[in-house]
Amino acid sequence: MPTERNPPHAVADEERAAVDRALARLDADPRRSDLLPLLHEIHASLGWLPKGALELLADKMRLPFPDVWGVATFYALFRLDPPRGAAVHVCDDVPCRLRGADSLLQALEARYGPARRFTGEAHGTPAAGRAAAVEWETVPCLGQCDHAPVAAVAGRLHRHATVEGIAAAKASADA
Amino acid sequence: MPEVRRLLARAGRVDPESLAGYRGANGYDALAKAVERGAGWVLSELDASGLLGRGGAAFPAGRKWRAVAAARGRRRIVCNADESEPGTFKDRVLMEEDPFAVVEAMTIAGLTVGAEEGLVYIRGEYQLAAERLRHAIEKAEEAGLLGADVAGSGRAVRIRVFRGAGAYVCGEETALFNSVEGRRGEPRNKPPFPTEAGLFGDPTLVNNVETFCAVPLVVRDGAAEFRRCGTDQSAGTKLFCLSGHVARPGVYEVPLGTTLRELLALAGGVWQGRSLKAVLCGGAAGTFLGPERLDLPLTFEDLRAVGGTIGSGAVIVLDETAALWDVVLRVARFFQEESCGQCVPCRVGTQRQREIVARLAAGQPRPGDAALLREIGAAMTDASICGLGQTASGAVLSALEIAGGVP
Repeated sequence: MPTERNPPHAVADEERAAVDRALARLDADPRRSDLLPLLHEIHASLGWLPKGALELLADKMRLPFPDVWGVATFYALFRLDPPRGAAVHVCDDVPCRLRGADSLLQALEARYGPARRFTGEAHGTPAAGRAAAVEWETVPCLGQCDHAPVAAVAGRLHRHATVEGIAAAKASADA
Repeated sequence: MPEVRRLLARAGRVDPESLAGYRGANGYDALAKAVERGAGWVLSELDASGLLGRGGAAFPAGRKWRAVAAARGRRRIVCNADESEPGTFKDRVLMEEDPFAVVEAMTIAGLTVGAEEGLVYIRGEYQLAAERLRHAIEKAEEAGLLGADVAGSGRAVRIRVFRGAGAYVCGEETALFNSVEGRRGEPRNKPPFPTEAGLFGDPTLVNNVETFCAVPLVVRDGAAEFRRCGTDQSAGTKLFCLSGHVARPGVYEVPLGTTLRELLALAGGVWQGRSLKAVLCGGAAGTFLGPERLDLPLTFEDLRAVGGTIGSGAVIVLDETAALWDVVLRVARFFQEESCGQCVPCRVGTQRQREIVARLAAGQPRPGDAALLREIGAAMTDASICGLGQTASGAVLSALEIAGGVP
């Protein structure tokens, strides 16, 4: 394993352990093509990709940090800020919207506050500045249109999703 | 025309986690035949079958396979399972319900084009499909149907599963290569085409999941039998994903040439006894077809003739009550968010397109908006380097057509 060229700042022990664990699963020195699988591993351990962990990973992979940062920021499934509990992803794409997603999104907004990432126009602008009680976000098509509307809580799919079902799954994932 | 279950012959009927079950339902018959008859025979049969790619571009599969088989040096095969086209879920069903078929097809491809390294690029959200594929790969290796010596052929084929992480553009084959190589998933300029310089610079065969799954059918039953369904230019069956305002959403397999009316009837028709406003055929990258197209045969050539596309096989149904321009706005927003931003026509065009569509959806069009949309669409189609930008205006412009102008 190469030595660290630039000891990154502010890497929590937990983050360092997640990076080391991910690298230890490789059977050879990491190659650039291991980057996305490694990011998946680290994201799965920590629930997000802290900058310090990415700096450490870049050093260990002997890659320029901007290259690692550029990849980490490219993908919608990776979070770059700490999550508040289990991720709630609700499909707001065309097939789900035609089958009840609009009212589901409205019910979620009423219950939790505005979505973290939401640029929807068709059913109103989310109240600006109002903090969400529970973090949730809308996502494009999840490929489950035969069971619309759908949501994913902590990566687990909920078909024919209801606000009650999502809330229960979120509560149990966070417990 | 009734449903014809070829690709879906085992789906929902055979345990997707049982290799014995798969073999007991004609599984691996095709691999045995491919090993026995050899690569030349497989390539001729594939050419004769007329199989066209099912991922959206409808490129002749035989020509692609031949190009990679004729290449020198290390070659690779990639199964594009990044199914992210809105309204599309057929590849998910194939991978979840018949994962061994994907593995068998890729194994035949490896032997035929001379590639030892295979990779399935699967969208990050498809966790069950990824698990089922990994399981099928493991069982096939244990049984000597994959690995160092495939079915006693003395040849090696290995397959690994690679997960995407939420980027529609990675379904574009060169963006997919960059993603696997640990770079941002941005498309490359073509040429060179993947058959010359693909993954890690090696000649690479890329096919969609459904295209791969058609191959064992061609090999097992022969090209003539494959051609018993479909038309001269659009051979075989096709999976269509019915969603939206339809009575029974789901994946339906029908011979190419089935009409839209017949396809809708299979899914129970428009729900709640309502009438049809339009279908969005081909997903976000597709086009709207109005009720006057109900008797259009669903073939590559018939759709092309009306400026449409079969695309991925998504058929999103809108009933008479649907707000057409809200749907168009969602599509416009999709493209703006999924544009990788690398090339200007797409980055700026998808942004401007969305702004204009937002005005139309709000009932506040400005003079010249329709002309502006057409101009932006032409610029994106002509000048974007990949299919995302090239198709980003199709749904919007076809909505103008079926609506007879701006709302």
